[in-house]
Amino acid sequence: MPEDISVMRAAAEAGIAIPKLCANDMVKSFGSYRLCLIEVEGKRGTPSSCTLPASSGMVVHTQTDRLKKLRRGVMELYISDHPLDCLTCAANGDCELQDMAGVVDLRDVRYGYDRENHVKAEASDGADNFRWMAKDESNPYFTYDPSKCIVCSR
Amino acid sequence: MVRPKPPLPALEGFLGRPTVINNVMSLASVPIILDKGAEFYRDYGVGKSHCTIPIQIAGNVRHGDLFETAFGPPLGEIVEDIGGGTLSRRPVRAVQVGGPLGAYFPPEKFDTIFDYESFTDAGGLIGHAGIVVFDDTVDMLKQARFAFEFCALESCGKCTPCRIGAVRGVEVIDRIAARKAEGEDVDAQIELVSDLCETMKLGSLCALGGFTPIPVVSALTHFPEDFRPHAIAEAAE
Ligand code: SF4
Ligand code: SF4
Repeated sequence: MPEDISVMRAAAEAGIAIPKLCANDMVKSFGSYRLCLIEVEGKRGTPSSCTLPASSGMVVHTQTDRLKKLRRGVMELYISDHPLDCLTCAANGDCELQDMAGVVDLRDVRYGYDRENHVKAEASDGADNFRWMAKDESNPYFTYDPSKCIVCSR
Repeated sequence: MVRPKPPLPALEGFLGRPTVINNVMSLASVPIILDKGAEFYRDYGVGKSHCTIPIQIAGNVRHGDLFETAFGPPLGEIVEDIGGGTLSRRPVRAVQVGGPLGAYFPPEKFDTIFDYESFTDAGGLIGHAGIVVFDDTVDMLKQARFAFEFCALESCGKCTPCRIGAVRGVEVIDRIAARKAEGEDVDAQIELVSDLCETMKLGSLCALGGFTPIPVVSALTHFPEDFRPHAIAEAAE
């Protein structure tokens, strides 16, 4: 096995897609999104596969009930701070977040949308939401909408 | 910024070089080992927890201070004999062991032996051996909220389970408190908080987000009555 490749990469080369969001072949792995978590036999915990170096003899599980529940839990948190705008969003149909929400089978966000968020300009009591920032449309090629940013740092 | 392990800091650490990280507790044990030899020091303690541990006792306690003792006494002995019980002279209801992310123990668990293995088995941790004592006026729902609040404040923000999870944790606890005050059913919210704890424990990148569920889950397990409306709590007993 080649040196210095991640479990995620090794799995991809073997034709297994591990759910992921912040990882991207063009940048160094960062490990912030916590969606590509896996289980390694004989090891405790659930490390992120994008940052874990693959080694020979390693036995990895990418889909267990525990991992499925965990990924759904992480996605539920993400979407609890994301607009429910897919139908009118420019990225609709070409959005990794939307795809992954589907992959992990998120159906319901139990946290509600009435509390702390960076999605709405106004807080639930009508005051200005200091976490909210307006869209930046100064660039002719793309629009940056901070309310849709998931801070993956990639 | 927090980074994933491996590589371990001893192999690749600060500025990409091997780095040894020691806490003050380890460094403080060096002089006696050099002076009296490793065996002398190692023979203190029980089981696999060798040596001594500096315990910091605080909170509602008569003799709050720093004490060094060998591993091995039961927790109750530390609280009652070394700490002298509560300052308020009311009965002890809970002690938090290990720091702000340590587990809460009720007096029924005071026979837990103060060593690493027993505390891990009991769902807690020794951590930096901080012990905070609370009397029977403590509200464990508030203590659970404090754990999430602390985590939200200290979070570096790199990973989601901790960055968003801690904030949602405070909100869910507040919702439980509001429903409890109204005498409403809280089952769905308690399930949500338990799921959130599982997500944070397994999904967080470092021990801050990963350990925040420990105080919350221990409060929920040992003091469930504080999370439910009185009528419902009584009916459940
Ligand atoms: S950016 Fe957000 S709102 Fe837009 S399609 Fe993706 S998930 Fe939906
Ligand atoms: S668990 Fe919290 S403190 Fe640790 S890396 Fe994640 S966001 Fe940062």
